[in-house]
Order: sequence, then C-alpha cells, then structure tokens
Amino acid sequence: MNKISLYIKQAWTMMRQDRLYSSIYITGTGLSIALTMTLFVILYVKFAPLYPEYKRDRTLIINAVSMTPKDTTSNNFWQSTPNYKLVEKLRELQNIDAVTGIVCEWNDEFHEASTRLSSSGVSPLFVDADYWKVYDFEFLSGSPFTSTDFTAKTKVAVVSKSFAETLFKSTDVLENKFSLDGSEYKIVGVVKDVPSSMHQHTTADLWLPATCTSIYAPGENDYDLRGGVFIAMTAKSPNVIDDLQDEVDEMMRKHNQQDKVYNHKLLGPDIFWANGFRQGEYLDEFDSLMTYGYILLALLIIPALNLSGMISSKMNRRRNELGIRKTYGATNRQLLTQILWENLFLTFVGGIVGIILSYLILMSTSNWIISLLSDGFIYSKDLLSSNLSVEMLFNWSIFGGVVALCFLLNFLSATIPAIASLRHSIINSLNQKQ
Amino acid sequence: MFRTILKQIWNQRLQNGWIFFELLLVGIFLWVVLDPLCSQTANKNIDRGYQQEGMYLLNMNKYAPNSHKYNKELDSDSLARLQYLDIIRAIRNLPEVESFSVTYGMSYANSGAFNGGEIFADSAFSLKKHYQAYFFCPVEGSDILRTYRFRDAQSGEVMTIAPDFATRNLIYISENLARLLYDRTDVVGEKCYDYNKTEYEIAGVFKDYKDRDYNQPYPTALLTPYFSKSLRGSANMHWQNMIMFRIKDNVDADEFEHRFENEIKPTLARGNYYCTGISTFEEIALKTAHTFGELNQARKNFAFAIFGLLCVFLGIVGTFWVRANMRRQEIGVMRSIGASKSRIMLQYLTESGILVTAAILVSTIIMANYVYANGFFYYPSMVTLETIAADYWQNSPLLHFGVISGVVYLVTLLIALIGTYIPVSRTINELPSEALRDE
Repeated sequence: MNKISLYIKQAWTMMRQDRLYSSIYITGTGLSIALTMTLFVILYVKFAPLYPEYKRDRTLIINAVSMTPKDTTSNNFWQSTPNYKLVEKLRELQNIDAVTGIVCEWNDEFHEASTRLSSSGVSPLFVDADYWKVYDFEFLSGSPFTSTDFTAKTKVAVVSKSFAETLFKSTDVLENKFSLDGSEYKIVGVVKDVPSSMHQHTTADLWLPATCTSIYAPGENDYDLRGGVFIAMTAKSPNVIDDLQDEVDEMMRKHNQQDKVYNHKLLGPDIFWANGFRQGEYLDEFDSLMTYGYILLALLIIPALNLSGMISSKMNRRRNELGIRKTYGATNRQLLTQILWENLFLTFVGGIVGIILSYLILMSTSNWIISLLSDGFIYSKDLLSSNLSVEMLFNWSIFGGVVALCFLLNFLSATIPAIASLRHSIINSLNQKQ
Repeated sequence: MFRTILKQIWNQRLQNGWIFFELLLVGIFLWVVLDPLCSQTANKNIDRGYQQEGMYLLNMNKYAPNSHKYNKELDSDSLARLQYLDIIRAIRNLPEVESFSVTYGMSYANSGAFNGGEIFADSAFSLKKHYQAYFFCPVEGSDILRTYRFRDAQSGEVMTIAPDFATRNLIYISENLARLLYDRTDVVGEKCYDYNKTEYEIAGVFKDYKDRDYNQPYPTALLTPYFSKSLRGSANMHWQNMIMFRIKDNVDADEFEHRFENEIKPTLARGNYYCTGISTFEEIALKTAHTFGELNQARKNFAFAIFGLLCVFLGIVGTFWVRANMRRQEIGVMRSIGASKSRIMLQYLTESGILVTAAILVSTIIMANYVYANGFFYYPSMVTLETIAADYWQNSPLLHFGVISGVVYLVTLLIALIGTYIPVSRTINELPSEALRDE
C-alpha cells in the first residue's frame, strides 16, 4: 500500500511538473470517458429498468400486424398496428402476467374552465385498466381508472404531476375537471412525472381510457386484428418469455386456421430491448448491437492509441531514470507496476473530467441526445415534464462502468509502451543521450 | 532536408508507429462519419426552390363524436365544405396574409408524405417518368405558386397561378421534370399525361424544388387530382385539405404569431372544426428532419467527426510536444549554426505532414476497397439516381469518393499541422543558449 501511495505521490509531482503533457493526457482521457459515458447513459435509458418501466426484463412488445390474402394470386398486403381484439386474445394465455393496448394520439387543445394554457400542447396516452399492471407508476394521489371505467367509456383521467401543476398550480387536483378536445375529464389520479426520454408507451402528460378516443377501432370483422393500438405485455417471469412467445405463435396459428380469407402475422412479440432495433419486418438485434460495439471500440481505441503514442514518447525520455532504477535492483515488474499506477492516476483525473463533461453534454442536449443512436422513425413528444431523471444519470452501474473504462483505457494505452521501454538493457538505457 | 526528415521519421519509428496507427484509424473513422455528413450537408445546401421564411400551415382539428362539443347536425359533407370555406375566407382576409393555398392530402413541404406517380410526355405513353405529385385545391383567390414563391425556370420571376387553372387541365412542372420529359425547359403549352390518361397542358415551369430539406430536388408537378377538381366536403377536411399561407414581407413574424395565438385562433371555429394554432414551415422542416432521423444522423456524425479530429489534435500536440522537448538541444545546435526558425518549423511540419499523408493514403486504400464491396455510407438509390439525374458531386461514385477522401485528408492534415505548430513554436522560440544549457 505504501508503494502505491508513493507511486501516486510521484505521479502527482510529475503531473505538476509536466503540465502540458498532463493536461493533454487528461483532456484526451476525459474526452474518451465523456463520450463513452454518454453512450452508456443512452444505452442505460434505452434498456435498463427505469421508472415506470421496471419490468423491462420481462416486457414484450407487439407494434404491428400484417395481413395477406390466402388467395396466393393476389399481391395485396396490409400492415397496421393491432387492435383490442388481439389484446383480449393475448390476455387468455397462460404465461401472461398482464397485457395492455396503448393508443398514441397527439392533442394540443386543452383548458380548464376559461383558463386557456400554453399552445405547445399536451401528450395524452389512451390506455386500458391493465396498463397500470404492466407499468409501475407511482401514484402521488388517487388511483388508476378501472376496467369498469374503461368499458363504460367514463371520462376520467390520470395526470402527471407537471400537468396538474401547470393546469391547476397544485397537485391536490383529485376530482378536478379539465377539457380536452371538447370533452370534459375528471382527474382520478396524479402520478410522478415520466421523463420524456422514456419509451413512447409511457411518456405522457395524461392517461385516459382508450374507449374515449375515436382511434379505438374494433376492426372490420371478427378476425381482423388491425387497429390503432400498440401492445405491451409482461410475462410471468423472465424465464417463461420463450414459452410465452411459443404460446403466441400457437395462438396465431389457430387464428389463421379460423380465418378462411386472410393470414395474419404479428411483428413480435419482441423482448423489450430487441424491439428498439426493429425496423418494420426486419429485426436483427445482434447486428444493431454490433454497431454500438463498433462505436464503443472507436471511442476507446482511438484515444488509447493517442495516449500510447504520448506515453511511448515520454518513456523514451525517462529511459535514463528507468536505467538507474534498474541498476539499484528494481525489477521490470516493479517498474511496469509503477508506470501503470502513474498513468492510472492521470487516467482517473481524466475520468473525473470526463464524468463532468458527459453531464454537461447530457444536460445541454437532453431534448434529443437519448434518441441520437435510434435508427429510422423517431417518436418524440414534448412533455411538460423534464427529459432526464436523477436515476438515469446517477447510479452505480454507470459509475462502475466509468471506473472499469479507466482501467481498460489505462491498460490499453500504457502497457505496450511501458513494456517496450523496459526491454532496453541497463547500459543501453543509461547510454541514451538526453 | 527531405532525406533528413525521412531519416528522422525512421529513427523515431516506435513513437511514430503509434501516431501512424492513430492517424490510420482516425482516417477510416473520419471517412465513415464524414461521408454521410458531407453528402447530407451538400444535399441540404441545394436551393429549396421556394422561400420557406414567412410560410405557415394552419393546424385544424375536429371534435370527435364522443366530445360534448360535437354537433352531429353540422357534420354533413356539404356543411363541412361551407364551414371550411368560411375558415379559408377568414385566413384570406387577414391583413397580414399575402397569399394562401389549400392542399389536397399531405402535399406540402416537409410533410413527410410522398405522393409519387407516373407521367408521360406523349399520348402514345411511351416516355414514362416518375414524379412527385403536389395536389392542391384551386379555391378562389388561392395561389400555390405565390405562396411558395416558386420562380419561373426561364425568367427567375416569382410565378402566379393562371386565372383559368381551375377550369382547364393545367399543370405546373419543375425544371428537372421538364428536362426528363422533353430534354428542355421551354415547354409551356406542351401536353403531358398521367397514369389515368388524363391530358394536362403545361402552364409553367418552375425552378427545381426540394420537398424535404435533406433530400435532392425530385421531379415535381403541381396539379389538381382528376377526381377532385374543386374543394369537396368530407368528414376529414382538416387532414384532407390543409390550409397554408404566406405573410407579407413587411409583417413582423413574432408579432403576427402572437396576434394569431391570442386574437385570431379563438375565432377560427366553424361547425365541428376548430383551429389549434399555426406552424411555421421552418418548424415543420425541423420536426420532419428529427422524426426521420436526418437531424440525429447529422448530429451524431458531426459529434464523432469532432471527436476524431480532437483525438488527432491531442495526439499530435502530445507527441510533438514531447518530441520537440526531447530535441531541444538538437534545435539549439541547429539554431546556433544558423538554421532559421522557419526552416526548423518547416522540418517538423513536413515530418507530421508525411505521417498524415502516409496514414491517410493507407486508410483511403482500405476505404476504397470497402466502398467498392459495400457501397457508400450515404448514397441515393439507383432508382432515385435515374430519376433525379442531376450532376451533383455526391451522385457520381468517383467524384463522391474523391471529395470525401480529399476532405478527410485536408481536415486531418490541417489539424495535425496546427497540433505540430503549437508545441514546436514554443521550443524554437527559446534562445539557443537556453536550449544548450543542459548539453
């Protein structure tokens, strides 16, 4: 331990002596850590269990259903979001914990009595009673609307804290009424805000029964599964996801047997994380993950080469010093450990700079940074609430990732130049002209 | 001097090896990110063919049948048409409004929709070309050409719609569509035909038009659909017939938007239709670019390009600073025997220039092989290319490769030279006696 503190002391002294070298080293490391950490946060927000989507590890998504005639001479093809008939059919499966149908519709005409508010609009979601089982919303007051409200088309609403505060300047708004698109809704629950960077199925300012929207379409006939609904469901446990997918396949096989005119095909159910990579019929989650891998590699390898070059030049300058240390009995292993510790110290300082820089990047670009790496069509909503939450930015897995990155970067950049400079014999090192 | 530099590079091969590999990797990395960034920027910089500033889209909505404000008696097609015409009249009569137009469908700039079709130059239907149809309703007083400020391909003047447009089968086509169909642009009075064999007479040719900010101009025609020659009442007029208008040049946009929100919007409610506000065409363009990922792609590539260049800068500064410091005595000796500062600086700059040139040359060869096998990272499809047939550099494979490679080389070289100049100038500005003190 004493040795390590000695190394760090030495590194501190060298850092102060070689200010330009140290600042370039720290900036280079900071830049790499900042961008890698920004990438980590983007991935964390996209895939980690976060409010209110804590069950992401067992959530499955169906965003579309396609329909083709059984008559093979016809080239007709339809693709659309599913409808609530499919939700009802899925509800009967054994491995389903809960299933919900979500209608996304954008509205911007709302007011309370005569008080007209901002023209920027609000984002409502039209959902059913099981929505509150699939997602874990934190109710600050009141409760979700019930399946009876849903069936009876009762005009009730669950609203976000920000919505309540914007509309009524208070969160104590149960039983209050507001008007949306000419319909009056009664507030039955107030939930904690959902950051707008979360999935489009949960980001909203208010949640209303789907039966209150004109998009709630039952389909043309008993077998028609097309409508305007996105489906999210939770399996009973992550272990039964495959069984549930098999069950859905079997359900669709039977459905296609019963429908004499059309074949229906679901685009899904996809496991939550994989669904983010779906582009229509095409889904190759591993191919998409590879893209992230290449980016991560570039963010690490390029600065590592950068640092290696600098360390290599520096080691060349310190060959005399290393030669003297060797003369007094220091082994290559000891010297290598010392060099690695010295550089690790600088890397950690760079890591701290990187963390600060990454927060600055995230804060200043919060309205679009999370969707930065999304391919294809990007759903975005302007919510009354903020884009990023504390749990997205400050958590142990991200900090642990940064520490691991520092080690990796240090290992990648310092090891080879250090070993190369230690290969020289003592005489060679001492003979080197400065 | 050149031989000395090459010798120097060889002597420092271990340190140069690192920077060479970094430059090589950055060369590949920059190629990957600059290809889409440069091509996208080049597309974006092509003239839109219309004046976006001052254009607004009226956002209308309709009460749903389950709304308590919904009035079923006012929801017939004939009444809806009258209500909608009344709203159009209200917009037309605004003192700030210069011109207006009513679309059929989502035919407006950056709507995100694309209404493609086939058009023929002869009645024998032998010469078929693909085009984008912009459908509009010739409501009395409306003028799509003035609202967009389309310019005549020949004179460059802002065009106005023919007064008899609604009563005759007239069509306005873009310059590139005229070239595709007739190989010339003075085609007013010529006849063309749509897939439905409807004959149209060309009433004017406007300068090339870009429907989306990040796209290249696509052959476009302005016409009324054969099935709807005038404004028809329907259940969804707020989707079917979008109202767009232009404000006069002397009107302050902010003041107008404020007045619209507070005074005009509340008055624009007829029957079950009500106004939810206005969007500028700049806002629509930005939203579409975001929704379709174009904005994110540009941001992402720009951020990665900056990252790559910063890494090169830091790497070169760091390496050359250490190197110049190590060679302080050598520089001192050179200066004491009469070498000028500029000669020493030139030696170092040439050294880093050679490194950059060698690394970028290798990375360009690698990328040439990659592009040959897999294609560019951003390139129009063959179908689009055949239709657009424009000689933009980004559409020619050789020129495209040359431009991107050139940009990669130049930015890397520039950054590397700056990165070399800063530390070396610090060292050569020392007095020779100072530099030689440790000797």
